[in-house]
Amino acid sequence: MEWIKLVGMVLVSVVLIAVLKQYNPVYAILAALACCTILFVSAMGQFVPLVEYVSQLAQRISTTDILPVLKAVGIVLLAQIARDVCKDAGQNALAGQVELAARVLVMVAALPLFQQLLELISGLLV
Amino acid sequence: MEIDLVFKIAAIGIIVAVLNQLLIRSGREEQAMMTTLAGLIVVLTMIVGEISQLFQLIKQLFQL
Repeated sequence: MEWIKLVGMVLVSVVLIAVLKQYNPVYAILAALACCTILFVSAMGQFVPLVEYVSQLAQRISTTDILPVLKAVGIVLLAQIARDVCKDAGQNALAGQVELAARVLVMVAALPLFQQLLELISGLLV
Repeated sequence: MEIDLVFKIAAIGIIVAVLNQLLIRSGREEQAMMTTLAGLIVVLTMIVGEISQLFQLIKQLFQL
């Protein structure tokens, strides 16, 4: 039932944004941003149990913590919102920059995993 | 954090647009620009509150 409410909300706000775009394009962008925020927060509501379950599974398989993976997911999700809102507003250059920044940050967040990988490989090769 | 936020923004946008036209037609371009700015500031303050809530949630969820 929650999902149908969300879809209904999206459809209504799409129509509203279309009306706003005709009279006041600036408010259309803001309304789209507000709707994205509401949807993201409600989607994240179901995210916590998912993360706990995945971390339990990960602990069973290997000792590595999934914190870097979680950080990467967070960075990517936020960057995606920013990129899409920039594209809607017509700022493709800004969208590209947000994407670039997100890639760099994800690489930084994933560094510990690279180290573990290198140690694993060097252990195998010896 | 429900859809009424989107409704509020849409309502403000349309009212400001109508006021804008009204003021322009009656020859007061400056006031028209002022009302548009005022409406924009009101909507921005509402949105900034929601965005800060979103960032708090992301930081807490993903331990960023």
